Amino acid sequence: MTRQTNIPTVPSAPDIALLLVERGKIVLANQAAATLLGAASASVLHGRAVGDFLSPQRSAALASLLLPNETTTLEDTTHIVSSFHRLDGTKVDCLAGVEALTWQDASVVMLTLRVVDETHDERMTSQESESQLAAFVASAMDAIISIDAAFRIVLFNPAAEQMFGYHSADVMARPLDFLLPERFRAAHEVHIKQFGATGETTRRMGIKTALKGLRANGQEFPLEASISKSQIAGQHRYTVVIRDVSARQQREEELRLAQDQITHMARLSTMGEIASGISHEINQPLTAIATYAQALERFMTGAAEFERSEMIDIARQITQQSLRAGEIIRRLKAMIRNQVPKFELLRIGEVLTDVSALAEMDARLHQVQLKFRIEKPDVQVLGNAIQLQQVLINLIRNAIDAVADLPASRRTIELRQSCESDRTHVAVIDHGPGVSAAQAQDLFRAFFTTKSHGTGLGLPISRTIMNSHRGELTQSTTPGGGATFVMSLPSAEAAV
Amino acid sequence: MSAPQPCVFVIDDEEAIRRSLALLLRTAGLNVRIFASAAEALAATDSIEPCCVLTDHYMPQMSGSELLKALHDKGIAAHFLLMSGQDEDIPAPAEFQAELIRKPFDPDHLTKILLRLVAETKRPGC
Repeated sequence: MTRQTNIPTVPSAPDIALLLVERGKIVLANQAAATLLGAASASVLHGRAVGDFLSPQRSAALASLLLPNETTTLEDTTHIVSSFHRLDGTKVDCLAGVEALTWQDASVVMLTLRVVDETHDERMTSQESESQLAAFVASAMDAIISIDAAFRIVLFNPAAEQMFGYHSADVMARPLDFLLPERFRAAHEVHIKQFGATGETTRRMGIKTALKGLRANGQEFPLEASISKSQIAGQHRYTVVIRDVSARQQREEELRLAQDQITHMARLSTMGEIASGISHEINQPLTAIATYAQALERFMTGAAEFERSEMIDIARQITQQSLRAGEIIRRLKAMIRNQVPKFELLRIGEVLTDVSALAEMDARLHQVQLKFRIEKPDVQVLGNAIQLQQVLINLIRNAIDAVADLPASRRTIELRQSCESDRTHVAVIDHGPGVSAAQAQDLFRAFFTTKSHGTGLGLPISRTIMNSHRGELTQSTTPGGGATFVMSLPSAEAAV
Repeated sequence: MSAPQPCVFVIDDEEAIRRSLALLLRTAGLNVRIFASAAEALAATDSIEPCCVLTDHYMPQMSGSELLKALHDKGIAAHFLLMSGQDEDIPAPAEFQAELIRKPFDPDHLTKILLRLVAETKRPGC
């Protein structure tokens, strides 16, 4: 005996694994069933043969009830303890409730599963199991729409109503295509027909592709859908589970834009800071060149007397200082070139030597002393030298700001490199005012800054860089006061 | 105490600048003493009193303007010239006049300024 099941609106679905099986195939499953059977999502189960999950030894009785057999009739809900295979091959014993139902004009078997424990006497009444199926469809977060062979809607759940903006009663028996933007309709019909024509009923039929939906108000939205196929009296029946991914796509887009903006601003601010440091550095050789040239001019005009060796030295100095200016410009160009970060094996000692050269100028300008203590310079790390330098320069720059108000004798910043098992650490240690507990919470948040001209991007970018190096950037308090920032990353093989 | 000839102190932590300035200013007949740090120049004023002090501003330990302030506090009444390769303004000590000279500068112009300052100092009997 089968019963016609209407889909009443039930406020909540009990978290019981539920599978709808038609002719041996799973046509619908809920998340609890997916979890129980070790599937990532319910759509993974759609279209699979239920027999795939039955343990041959302990489920023969259940199999005979579930597998296609026109003569099988179920008089009432049957409960059988059966053994199931999860997708990962492990076994789970369940109390399976089996009940024949008519769902969307098709004869189906509803299977409810509960993991067997000591007290498995809680047997569901058929009334309960009906309302569970109903609740499952009604309370699903995803839109569930079923269509018949003519693509006419036969089921439209509340999530579908919400998503598309139509009442279920208004869409029943209408062809599905009004839910799609016009330009996709012709192709969609072809796709469904092709899907219907494949003989692949033993394989999973849930497909996931990026599609567009059309709401009642004319708005298009991106969606993800899985479709499963069943056959009733030679007629195809399709059930589509649809997820609106517009919110997710928008979040991803916003995130990408923010990331681009952060990168761009970081480059601008870095360029500004580099430019001011570079202008000083380049003005030095220019000053020397101009002064030497002036001395030569005085000789030429007879205002000065030079020995031949002095003249040669002056000319050499001009050449040397010109080359030095050129080298500074080359370095600037290399720093601002938009390059895709290339990872390579780097000796940490070399990275720190470069950092020392780059930071020295800044430190000198602010009359800060930099101390490097490098424990194992030959340890290698896999990374991008420019990016790691950027992180360290940023930390040093912050430290320079932190100690700016201290007396000159205490304006010292220490860079300490050390190794611990398979990780390399570089600590930037200052004895400035330190980071308060309140500030520490926001330290790595974008646009948070304690400086009047800060961008609030230095640390977030640095942390992003460290993450891309499978590393970390952490902050702690220096013993005796001040801030310590530690970058740590996996060591590669130590260079021999 | 004063040196037999008015003396110009040139202080810069950058060797190329020190050397080139000493070379050029000597061709102009100036008596030049060069120093690599503010501390060295400050110590030298125990025995020589300069009539002009031409110093770089950004130097480690003691900056140019800190040096000028120390010299001023020590009672050294010299002409002060402060060099800088940075575009930003240097907070100049308010107690005395210091001429700001941006690098790179016209060396001929600088020479002329120093010659004029030395000549001015000479007249009252430096």
